[in-house]
Amino acid sequence: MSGKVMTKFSPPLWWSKPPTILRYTIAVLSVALALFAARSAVVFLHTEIFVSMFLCAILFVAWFGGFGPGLFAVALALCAFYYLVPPITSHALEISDLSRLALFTITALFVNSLSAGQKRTSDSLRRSRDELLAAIETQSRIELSLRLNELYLAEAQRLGGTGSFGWNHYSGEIFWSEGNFRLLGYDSTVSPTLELFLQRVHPDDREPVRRHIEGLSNPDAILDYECRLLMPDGSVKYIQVLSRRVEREISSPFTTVGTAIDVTERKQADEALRKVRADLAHAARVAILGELTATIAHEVNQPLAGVVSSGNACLRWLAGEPPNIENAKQSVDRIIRDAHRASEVIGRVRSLAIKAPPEKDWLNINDAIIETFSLTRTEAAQHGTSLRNQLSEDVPPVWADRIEIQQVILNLIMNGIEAVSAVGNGQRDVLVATSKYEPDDVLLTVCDTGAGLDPGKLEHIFDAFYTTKREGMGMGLAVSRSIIEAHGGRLWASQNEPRGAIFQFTLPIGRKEEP
Amino acid sequence: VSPTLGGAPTDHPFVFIIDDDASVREALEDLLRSIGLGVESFASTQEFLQRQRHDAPGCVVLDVRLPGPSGLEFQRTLMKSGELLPVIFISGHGDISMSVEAIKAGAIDFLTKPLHEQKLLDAIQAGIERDRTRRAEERNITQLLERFNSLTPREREVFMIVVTGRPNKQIAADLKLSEMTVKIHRSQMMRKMKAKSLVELVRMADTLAASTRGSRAT
Repeated sequence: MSGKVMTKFSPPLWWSKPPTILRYTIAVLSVALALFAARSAVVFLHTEIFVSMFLCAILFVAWFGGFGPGLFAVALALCAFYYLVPPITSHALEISDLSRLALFTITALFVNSLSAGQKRTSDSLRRSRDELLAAIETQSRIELSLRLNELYLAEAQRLGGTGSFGWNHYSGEIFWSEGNFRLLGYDSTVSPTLELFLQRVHPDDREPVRRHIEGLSNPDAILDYECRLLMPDGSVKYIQVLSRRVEREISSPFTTVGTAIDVTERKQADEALRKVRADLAHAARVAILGELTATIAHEVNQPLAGVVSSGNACLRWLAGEPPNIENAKQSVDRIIRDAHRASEVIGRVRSLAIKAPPEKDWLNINDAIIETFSLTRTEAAQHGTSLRNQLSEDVPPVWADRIEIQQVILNLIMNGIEAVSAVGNGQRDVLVATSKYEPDDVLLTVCDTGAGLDPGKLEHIFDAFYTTKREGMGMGLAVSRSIIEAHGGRLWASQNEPRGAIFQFTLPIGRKEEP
Repeated sequence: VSPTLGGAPTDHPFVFIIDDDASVREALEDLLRSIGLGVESFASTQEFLQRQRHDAPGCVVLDVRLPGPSGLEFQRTLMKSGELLPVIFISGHGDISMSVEAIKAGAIDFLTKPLHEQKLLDAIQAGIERDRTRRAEERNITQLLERFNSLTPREREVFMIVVTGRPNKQIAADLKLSEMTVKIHRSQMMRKMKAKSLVELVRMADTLAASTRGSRAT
């Protein structure tokens, strides 16, 4: 049956129960009509049809109004029968009349109950039919909306590159939505299995995915993981899978339901963004190294000078008569030490200069500072600046990219040195300090005694291409902030007392990210 | 060789190294010891000024780039304070204008790191020689001054006129003395000054005059 017909269906008025007063009025009118008709028959047809007329009236009233009004009609008919049926004048109750009356009463009562019963039955039948029709209508409406929803969902999944799935732990039964088939690159005629899914997962990701799925044996499990799919054409898709156990909340044939989302584009955009950021950071790093060239040359040259002079000394100790082996050994030890020192400086510079993708590892921030100092010490000395540190011993390691963090430190120190050398007289200090920062961050502070920051421009100093230096590119602080934020930290600036600037950044401790 | 603070004058040469870089300092110290020189090294110019040093012929090996005042400024400070130790500059990078300035200010040499051994040793040798000569001259002048100061006023008058080459007769006339008296003063003066001839006395007078001019100039 079509929904349109169903919605037009409505029961006629007289099927519903009429008001009591109407039912009783009908009883009176019916009996009166029967009396009138019977009397008319007597007058015009010369036949007595009182009994059949009254019975007809009672039948109708019982059918229309039910048992009560029917009974009332019986009573009315009896009265009419007694008083109005000829011989009208005879008030004496004769035996023959009595029996006739009794017979009528019994017949009337029987007809009444029969008709009322029939009415009840037909009413209840009608009601049942109505209810049934209503139920069918509701059902079909639900079906329609379900079908629509399914359609919308399929369309949404197609557009959004998502798929949904269900899985029964106990029976192993698996459901995939159309979107899921499309996502995994299977024809929707194959019957879904876990193995088919795992076949598509990139070989390198299979083990972690298997572990994730095993995690679903916990009834409270909520899964959210990303993995790569290796498609038959060799392309790689990134998907995010969200699923959880639902058996405690709803009764469904599946104990786990979930969604798989194609995040390839997002991943690619993220990747591109990361690459641009890394390129920018590298460019800024190389720019700083450019500023530091003289310093770096000096830092390498010093230990080399030591190596040469120690070498000469060693030769002389050996050429003596007798050769002074002990002193020669000491000279060689020093040569080795100094050569290492030179090579370390070169290594540090090289690691800053090469273009490598950011790679995170456990990093002791104090070590990073000490290493950075070796590149900036001379620069500070040349500017008549005292470069000091105040490193807290209880700073926990952070999960960070050493090179990028050193770049930020280098940047802040160089800014500090430049700021203090711009002021004529007075103290020329740059202080680098570390400490633990509540609740679980590491705080690094670089204070200088330079001219300080213009309070009105405090907001802009981290903008790209914003610079107060004649030769600055205006990228240092912008890049620094992006590096720190990419590490989940914050970088900000404030005024130092009585003068100068303070730059501070935080890094979260002990949070190793899943690769 | 353990440095004896402010020890007695010795003729054993001593080199003073001032460099803030430990690698350079230690290596140089080692090298100079290996050729038998006395060495003392200092991480800063302040340390050099504060510590008492050997009184021996020697020179300073000074890094141009130092924390605080530069090596060139320090060279000027040294000269103003009358410390006449010859200076050899060493520098991490060759800077022509800086080396010219250093040489003009009296430095022995201006060497770049890593140091060429022979050039360094030659410069040090030259420095030590210059210091030795200077010290000898200083000693000589001191002696002359002592001798000159031991003269009586009359003998000094005679001295001043004798070295101009005037004969005794004219000196006697100038000082309104008898020739005999002038002769006695003159022989006394020659004995006290330990001059064997007039030529030697004239040379002494020149040296004295130069030193007093020099001390007036500084």
